[in-house]
This record gives sequence, structure tokens and C-alpha cells, in this order.
Amino acid sequence: MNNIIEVRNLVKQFELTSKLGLQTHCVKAVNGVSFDVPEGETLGLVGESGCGKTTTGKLILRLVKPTSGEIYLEGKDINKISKKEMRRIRKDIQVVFQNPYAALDPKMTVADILSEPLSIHRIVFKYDYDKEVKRLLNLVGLSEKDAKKFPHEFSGGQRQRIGIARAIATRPKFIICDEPVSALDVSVQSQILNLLNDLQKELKVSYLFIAHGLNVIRHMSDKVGVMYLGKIVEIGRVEDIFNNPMHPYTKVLLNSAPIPDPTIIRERQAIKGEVPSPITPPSGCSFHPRCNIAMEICKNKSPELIKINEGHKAACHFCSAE
Amino acid sequence: MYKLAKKTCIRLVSSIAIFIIFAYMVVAICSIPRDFTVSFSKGKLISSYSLKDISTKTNTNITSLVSGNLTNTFKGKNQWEILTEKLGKTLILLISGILLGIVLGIIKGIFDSRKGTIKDSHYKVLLTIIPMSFPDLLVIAVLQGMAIWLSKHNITIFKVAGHGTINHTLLPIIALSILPASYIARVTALSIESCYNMDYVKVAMGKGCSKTRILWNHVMRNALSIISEGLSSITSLIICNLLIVEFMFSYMGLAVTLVQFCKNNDIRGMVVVIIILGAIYFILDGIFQFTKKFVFQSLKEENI
Repeated sequence: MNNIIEVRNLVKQFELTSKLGLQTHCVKAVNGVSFDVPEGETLGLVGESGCGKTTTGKLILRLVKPTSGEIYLEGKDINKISKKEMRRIRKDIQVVFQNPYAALDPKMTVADILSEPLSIHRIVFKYDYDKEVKRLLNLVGLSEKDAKKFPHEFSGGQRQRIGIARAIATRPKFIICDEPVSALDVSVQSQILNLLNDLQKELKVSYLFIAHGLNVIRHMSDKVGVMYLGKIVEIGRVEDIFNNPMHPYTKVLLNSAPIPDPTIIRERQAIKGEVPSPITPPSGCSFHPRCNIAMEICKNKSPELIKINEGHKAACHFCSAE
Repeated sequence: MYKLAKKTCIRLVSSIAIFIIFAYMVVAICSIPRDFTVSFSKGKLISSYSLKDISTKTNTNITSLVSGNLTNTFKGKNQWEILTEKLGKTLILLISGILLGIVLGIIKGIFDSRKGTIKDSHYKVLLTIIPMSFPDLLVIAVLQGMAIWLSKHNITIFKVAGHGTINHTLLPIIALSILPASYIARVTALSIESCYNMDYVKVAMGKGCSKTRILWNHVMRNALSIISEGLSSITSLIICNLLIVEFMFSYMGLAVTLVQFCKNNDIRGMVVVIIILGAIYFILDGIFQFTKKFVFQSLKEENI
């Protein structure tokens, strides 16, 4: 199967200068991330807040310029192309943001919001804008009459549907879903997730699904990448990650997810300590201060992603020992 | 529609009521005699004129003003004739100054804003803030110096002082517009920057919108409603500066006439000029409120 997106050693550093300009700190928001997203599949990125998931998404969209690394869209490095060509390629990469209340321009009607990408990329003729807007609204489960309304006249779930309609307007090949259901009620979350699944089957689009809810990731993803402090610590098929997690952080993360069955009793594995500051990350393995099985080598040497089995990799010295 | 009309009427009536109170207070203050004193004797405050005397004089002045009974003053010209003539000149300055201030302010604000980039430009911001800090006398002196320098090089478009031709109005208009332009520029830059932080602008960038399209279709549409909130403030700024500008440029407008009435101890003339200036403020403020309400309509959720 071909990969629609390939990311290689992506790094993004932000420089923070103190108020008087005397000290400059470097924050490695994304620190050597590599993954592939096959055509028609979903890669889920999961991790704590501040681990670099959203920054990774913005780097792929080129909303933020990477410090180093390559991003390939159908074999083409999008970091090396001109701005003009990038604008053309943006037709193929779209985004659905987390906050449906802020992601829609409050001064534009739904028709204006949906016809804007049609006019930028000339998807249809000008005379067909209305027809295409109605088609998109029907596709996401909204009424044609909603085209003339403003965003503030809709609920959160409806606004997210409009955001999804806007994303699929350009008939993209790849959509980055940055926590698209985090701001919604649980009952609405399932509707949006099912809509995304249906659209994927119908339109053969690939997703990078960013979330911190494990149940959502499990439902949506074919592959899962677990991020910690700017790095991918484990990546593999969803069955491998959830049934046979290898990295200590992945194990603790899965253990902390509540099970909706009070009869099941399990031993809780708490993560000790706090998330380290990305300005002064720990030496060696970034998880070692909080890991229950940290060894001396973990403090000195940063582990590489090691193949566990086909498609499953983990970055832990213990995994290589196994 | 009915609710909107009702709200508009209530607002109009309350503005008129405030204006009437303002006019009464102006007449009352101007009716206080110049030899009014307050002394402290045997543990009591004693004033040279009682409140009843002042209120009687106030009511008399109001009656004569309302009936249009103003005595002749300068060179046989009726006060109403003087005021009508000066009002036109002052309105030219005020309206042109406000329009120029808004246009320059918005353009400068767009130029000042970072437009989504991280790098800040202290130089651009300083160029906006410095005019706000300079005293008006210095600004006017610089403009007049510039006009003199240009005239030495045979460029006589700007007149240093006086009135009568359009060229005489150019420098006063520029002087009046500088402070409001700086204020509007700062408000514009900040509102544009706040819009660039919103997700819908990032989505527009992700869609492939050009910088121009993002600025005009998304950012300015949302920023203009924030900018319109600041328009009422520039009215008071401009009217406050009117006296200094007209005096320094010897431009015979309403504010200079007010000074002349004051020198001649013409209370009624003074009262009329102050009320006219107050009326101009209320009318301009009403126009800006209307613009904000109907042209840059706020969303329902902004009213919650």
C-alpha cells in the first residue's frame, strides 16, 4: 500500500527569549518524529498535553516551519517547494481543528465558508457553488437551509460538521483531525466520529487523528503513535499497541484509561512525578525520571525506535532486552 | 424590527435628554457672575450670590437663547451670522480631520500589525505611539516649520496660518488628524493581531488563501467591528484639540470665536458656541454608534 504522507526526523524548536533578552531557551516541541500514513488509513497520535501532537500537525500543514526534517506528500518533499506550489498542494491536505467555536469565521455565512475553498482551488465552476455547498451540507448531515445561517446559530456538533464539510470541500487526500471531538459532548462525539469514518470509506481519504482520549483513538485508528515530550515512543497497529504495549509509558497510559465495568478490578500503575519541562528535558530517555523500571543506561543513552514485530516499534532499552 | 426601532428610539431619547442636561449645566456655569466668591465666616460658608439668584439668571439666559435673542457684537454683525459663518469652517476641519484620521489610522494599523508573523517591529509601533505622546503645540510648530521650508523651495500648497482658501485648511486638518490616527492605528493593529490568533485564520492559511485574501476577507471583517468601538473616542480627542489648532493656525473657526466672546465677556455668545460644540460631539457620536450598530453588526452571542 502506498503512503500518502511520510514524515522523516521532523524537528521543531522554538526559541524563548527572556524579557530583558539576556537568556535564550530552546524548546524542542517536536524532536525527531518519523511516521508514515498509508492511503485510506488513519494514524492516531496520542499523548499528554504538551507532547507535540498539535505542533506535528501544524508542521505537516506548513502553518509552522520545521527546524529540520522532511515531509513527503505522495513522494514530494513539501518543505522544499515554493509558496505558490504549496498553495496548490494545500488542496490535498486539510485540517479540522479542535474548537468548533473558533474555527469558523463568525462574520461569514455557512455558504461563504464552504464556497471559499471551492473558489480558491477552482473545484467547481462559479455557477455550481450553491449546488456544491448543498451537496457538502447533505454529506455531513446538515440541511440545505443552513447555508444562509451564521456559525453562532449552530450548536458545537453542527459547527464541527461544518468544519468537516469545509475540509472535504477540496476533495483532499489527507485530513489532519486535531482533537475534533474534545470540545463536544460524549453523545455528539460518537456522531462526529461515525461521520468521519463514513467519509473515509466514501472518499478514500487518510487521517492523522490527534487526540488524548484512548477510546477515541482505538475506535478511529488503524495505526497508533504514542508521543512523549516531542518524540514517538511507540508506534504500531492498533491491536499491537492496545493488546501488547511495550513501552512503559504506553503501558501506564493504557492502564490509566477507565474501564466502564465496576466488576473488573485491576492494579493501578501510577506515573510518578511531573512531566519534565521541555526547556530542560532529561538526559537519555526522556521518560526515565518517571519510569518504574529505569536503569542506569536510560539516564545516559536515548533509546532508538526498535522493531518489535512487523509494523510495531518501541523506543525503550528494556524492549531490546526482550 | 419593532424591537430594533424601540431600542433606537430609547437610545435617541436618552441622548437628547443627556444633551439637554449638558446644555443646562453649560448655561448654569456660564451664568455664575465673575465676582462670585465664597467665604467662611463664624463657622458658616457665605457666598456672594445665592443659589436662587444664579438659577434665576440661568433661566433668563435659557429663555433668551431659546428665543434667539442674542445682542449684536462684532462690527455690527449679528451673533447668529457670526456663528453660522464660523460653524461651516469648523465643520470642514472636524469632518476632514476625523475622516483623514480614520483612513490614515487604519492604513498605519495594518502596516504596524505583525500579520501573523512572530517577529515584532518596535520601530513601527514607536512611530505610532510617539505622535500620541507629543504635545499638540510641538506638532503644530513642526508642521508650520515644514510649510515654511517648503515655501522656501517654491512649494506653496500649505499655508502656515490664516483662513479663506482650501490651502489654509490643509495643515489644520493634518494637525487635527494626527492624534486620532495614532489612536486608531494602535486599535487597528491590536485587533488585527487578535484576529490572526484565531483558528479560522489558521484554517484559511491551511486552505491556501493568499495573505491579501486572509487580511480583507477574514481579518479586517472581524477587526472593523472592534475598530468601530474606538471611533467615539476620537471625536472627543479632536474637539479637545480644536482650540489649540484653530488658535495656532489663526483659523477663524468656532473655537477662536469662543475665545473672542470670552475676552468680550459675552456670556450668551460663549454659551451658544459651547452648546454648538457639544451638539457636534453628540451628533458625531450618534453617527459612530449607528455605524457600529448597523454597519458593523455585532453577533447575537456578543450581545449576551
